[in-house]
Amino acid sequence: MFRNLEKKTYFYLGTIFVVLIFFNYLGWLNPIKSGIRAIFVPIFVKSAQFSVGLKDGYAFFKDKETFFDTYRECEADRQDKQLIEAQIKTLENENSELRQLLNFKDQSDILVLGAQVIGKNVEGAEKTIIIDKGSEAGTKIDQPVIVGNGILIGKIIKAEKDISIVRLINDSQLKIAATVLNHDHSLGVVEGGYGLSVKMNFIPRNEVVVIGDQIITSGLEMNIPRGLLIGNITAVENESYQPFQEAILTPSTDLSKPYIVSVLLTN
Amino acid sequence: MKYFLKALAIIILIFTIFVLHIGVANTLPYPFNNINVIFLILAWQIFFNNRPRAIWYMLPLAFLMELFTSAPFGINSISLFVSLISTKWLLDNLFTNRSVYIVFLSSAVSLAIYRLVFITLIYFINFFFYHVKIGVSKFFLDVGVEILFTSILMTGFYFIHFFFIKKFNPKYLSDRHI
Repeated sequence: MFRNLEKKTYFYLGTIFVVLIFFNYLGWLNPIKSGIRAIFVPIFVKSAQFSVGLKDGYAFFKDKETFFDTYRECEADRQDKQLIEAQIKTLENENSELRQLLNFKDQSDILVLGAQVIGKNVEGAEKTIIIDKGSEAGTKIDQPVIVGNGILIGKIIKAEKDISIVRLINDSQLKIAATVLNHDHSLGVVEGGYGLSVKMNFIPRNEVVVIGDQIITSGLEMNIPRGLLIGNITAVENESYQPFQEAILTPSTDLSKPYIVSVLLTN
Repeated sequence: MKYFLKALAIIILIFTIFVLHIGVANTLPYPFNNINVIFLILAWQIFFNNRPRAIWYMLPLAFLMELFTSAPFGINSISLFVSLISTKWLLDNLFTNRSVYIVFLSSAVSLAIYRLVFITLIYFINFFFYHVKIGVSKFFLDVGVEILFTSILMTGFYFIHFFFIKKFNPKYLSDRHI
């Protein structure tokens, strides 16, 4: 009798699952889904805020001396960066004037949508984050997601009505066409899945790539514009028996703590 | 009134389990954020309570997971359903002993079945419908971490259940000591 009850339970559960999946693809579950997400999104936000605060506190108290040394380095870097910024602005103005002289067609401005990170994927096998903007706000699959003024952190892989899921660049399933800011402008493919680091593969062996070189998006991929910063090279693997060399890079931003991001509405 | 309170208690329990799952996924550092709290609690119900009705909790929890995951709708639910049914069958027919090793082994096997069904369904969808990218070798590295830590935690729950709930329960005391 007990076994019959078990079999009945499994049968009813299986039937309910099939019916739910069917209703979902008909779109009948959307109001229920939106309502439930509206209840849980604030919890996700609080949890994400707590997580960021906890990591910041831990990083500070873990090693106070290193923290202050890094702070002093940042101060020194800031002054150098101010000078470079001024030079860049001058070059931008010159570039604009030259383009006008040559009657170049202006590149259309890309629309940017700000979003807040409300949490990570609850199903732990992927490195993805959830943002609070969905297809209603204009997000679509394959749109790039950045932080700051242009540091790429991932791509949108799922756009629901009110939320979107972003796959981070250190996820094993994401590949981005990239270029190295070196003399040869080496092209390659950046992929994740190496813990905190990211690897750039398919760099031609005859091109010189050194530690410290910056990696940006190459613009050869649809929907991802050229020039988004990905990271800096920290190690190079150039074996004679391999047809290509590989570079290990550290992302330019901490991918465990994104809080406010921007979606480039490129499509 | 009694049924209303019971229903309310179940809703609060499901809410708490899911919030705990969110908390673990968002707050703990790698590799602890891979612990699958929902699977842990559902498997615990099957291992220790052996009530088929407890498996009904899977329905709302699986639905909640589907709302916040990148996989196509239904993949996680079906994988969880199949793995828990397989677990029940294994515990009734193969791993009938309830020792520490069996608890660890059956937890690991159940999670492995869960992820195996998950990736099979993803490949099925890739073949017939649209393309969902998946990198097999690196995916299983994360899954291995999930299986290891969730199974260790399940074993810990077994110790708590055995020593504090069962062993110190007066109804298990021998008549000789009365």
